[in-house]
Amino acid sequence: MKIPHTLFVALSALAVVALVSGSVAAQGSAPDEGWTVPRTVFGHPDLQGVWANNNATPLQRPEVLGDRTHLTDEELAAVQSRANELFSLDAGDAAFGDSVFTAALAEAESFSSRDTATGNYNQFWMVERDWDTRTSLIVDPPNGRIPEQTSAAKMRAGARRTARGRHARWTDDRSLGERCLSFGTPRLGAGYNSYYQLFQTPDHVVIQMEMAHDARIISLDERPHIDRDIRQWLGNSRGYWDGDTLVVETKNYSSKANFMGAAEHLRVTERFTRVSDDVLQYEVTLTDPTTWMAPWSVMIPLRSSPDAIYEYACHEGNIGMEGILAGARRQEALESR
Amino acid sequence: MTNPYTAIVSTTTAVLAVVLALPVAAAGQGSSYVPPRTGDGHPDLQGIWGNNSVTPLERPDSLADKSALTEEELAQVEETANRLFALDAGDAVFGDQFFNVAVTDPESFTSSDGGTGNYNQFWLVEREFNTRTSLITDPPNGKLPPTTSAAKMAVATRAAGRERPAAWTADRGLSERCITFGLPNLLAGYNSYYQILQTAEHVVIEQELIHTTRIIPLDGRPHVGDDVRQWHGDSRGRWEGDTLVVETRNFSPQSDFRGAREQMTLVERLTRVGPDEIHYQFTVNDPTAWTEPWTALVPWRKTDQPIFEYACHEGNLGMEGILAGARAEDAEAATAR
Repeated sequence: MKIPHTLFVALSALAVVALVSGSVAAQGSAPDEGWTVPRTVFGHPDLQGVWANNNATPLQRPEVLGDRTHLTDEELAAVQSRANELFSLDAGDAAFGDSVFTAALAEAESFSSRDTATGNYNQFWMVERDWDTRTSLIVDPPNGRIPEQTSAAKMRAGARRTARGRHARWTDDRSLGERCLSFGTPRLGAGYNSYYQLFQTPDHVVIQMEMAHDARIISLDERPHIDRDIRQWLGNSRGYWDGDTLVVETKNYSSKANFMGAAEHLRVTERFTRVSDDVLQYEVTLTDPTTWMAPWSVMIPLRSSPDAIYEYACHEGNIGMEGILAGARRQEALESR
Repeated sequence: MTNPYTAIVSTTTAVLAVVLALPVAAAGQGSSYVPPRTGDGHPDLQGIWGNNSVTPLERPDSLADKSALTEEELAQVEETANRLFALDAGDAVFGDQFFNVAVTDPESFTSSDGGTGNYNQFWLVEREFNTRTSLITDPPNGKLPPTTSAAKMAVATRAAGRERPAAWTADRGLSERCITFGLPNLLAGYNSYYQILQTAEHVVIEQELIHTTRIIPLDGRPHVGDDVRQWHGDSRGRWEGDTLVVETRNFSPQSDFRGAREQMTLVERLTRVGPDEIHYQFTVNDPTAWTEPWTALVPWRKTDQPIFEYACHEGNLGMEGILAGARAEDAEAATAR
């Protein structure tokens, strides 16, 4: 969905949806009155279709908001208006992830991207974001913040930072996303190819992720997880229906995986609940006692999208990697003089 | 399905499968088999299927117009192959070699990977024998049609390009770069597994190699615009009786199926001909590559083994070696000047 023409179509569609439906699902799991979930021919709730995560709500609540889980409608209107000034579609640096909301909330006078060195992205490439009054995607802990990291996790994070600061010897000194291996699961990042297509059979669910065209094929037939010695980038997932909610439990992540510092000990529970025609509520609980002092949970309202997902090109256009490695060799040559 | 333990287990399955299903007749010729149905009434093709047939794509010259061996001839070939390619010894035999070496020149066999000798037969799955002498069913001589002079030139240019020291990864082949093994994938006996899932409106075909997952609409929607080009093209499926027909076009100019590229059209026909067998028949047409279309039939055999996540680029240290070697050659050449 990186094609500008498609982007414009998507923007128009999303803008209409946003105007009409406002903060559906923002309050939690109660479906609309009188609405019943559509069902597949085999009787499961029908979650199929393309779903987008373009929500503007940041993962963590900005500290200035304290314990406030929601803005008032007036406050939201003010933040949204400020964001529209800062991030007009065809001008200015691209704002990734949480920065749309946080920069607008902080009443920044101007916004400069973290990508200041090259300036190669601008807001033209980004999709319009969906707004609601929530102040964090994190619903637990109640303060909307990620629990404190363990001291071991802090040490690992420090080591990774140091490694990134070194000249890359080869591609595996760079991150998984840069290397086009995987953007990981679960993927919480919004507004950047954050599209998912779901398919259902009686005994499997397929979740296609636009990023790196990963497709998770998840069995629903109560078979056990694969052996703990088999480790995968996306772990090993098993699903089941809990009432009208699809629950997916994932473990067996690779020791080289990296979800915000968690890897082989990470356990993930995802819950997908269709709460209206246009909203698929996506709840994720993350547990890894070697990384965080407590489990934590997130809720993201995914929105229905009329757009198609195209084949994802990443590594094949990854000329930046050549530049990174060539630059590292050049720096070494200069330093050895 | 790449680790040795799995290979051994698969082998057991494969041997049993061979015993259970001997004849491989042409697709749908008066077969009385009625496939099971999905909830919406289509033939159920779901499950994991392997292509481990020994039949070569093209009929060996020595067999001329003989489209099938006699049972006695087959037994002789099988005996020769099993002697040459014992599971835990000897060089690895890829693809068509297994059959071709056994019928033509068994005593002179050396692996295609003679340079490193890093593969041996231990890593490969046991192959399935049947009496057919070529996968190609049309032209009737079992041979590829003549290639056009333009295609000959393109192939020669690529071959010459591979001989040059690689400036960067883009100078190497698509599978070496872990981008794709392309479509259709004919490689038998080497992670040649496919998982099929069906919904009312889509078919999902996961290919173990590079975990490529094709998601094919069945709802009659038109192809994407002519200027959207993808590694796996753009596929549309439909049912013709009990056969799933998938038509694919819009291949990328950088894709490469035996010299065919953006002009190629592919028609695949999948028919379940028995509880454990799918006939995968395909026709490719590219007037810029071949003087006429050609058709092949590949038998896919059901397996109970799961497909694991595929690791390719992440272990692709050979690429580092290739590029480092090329730089060393560059340096030597510069010194010599």
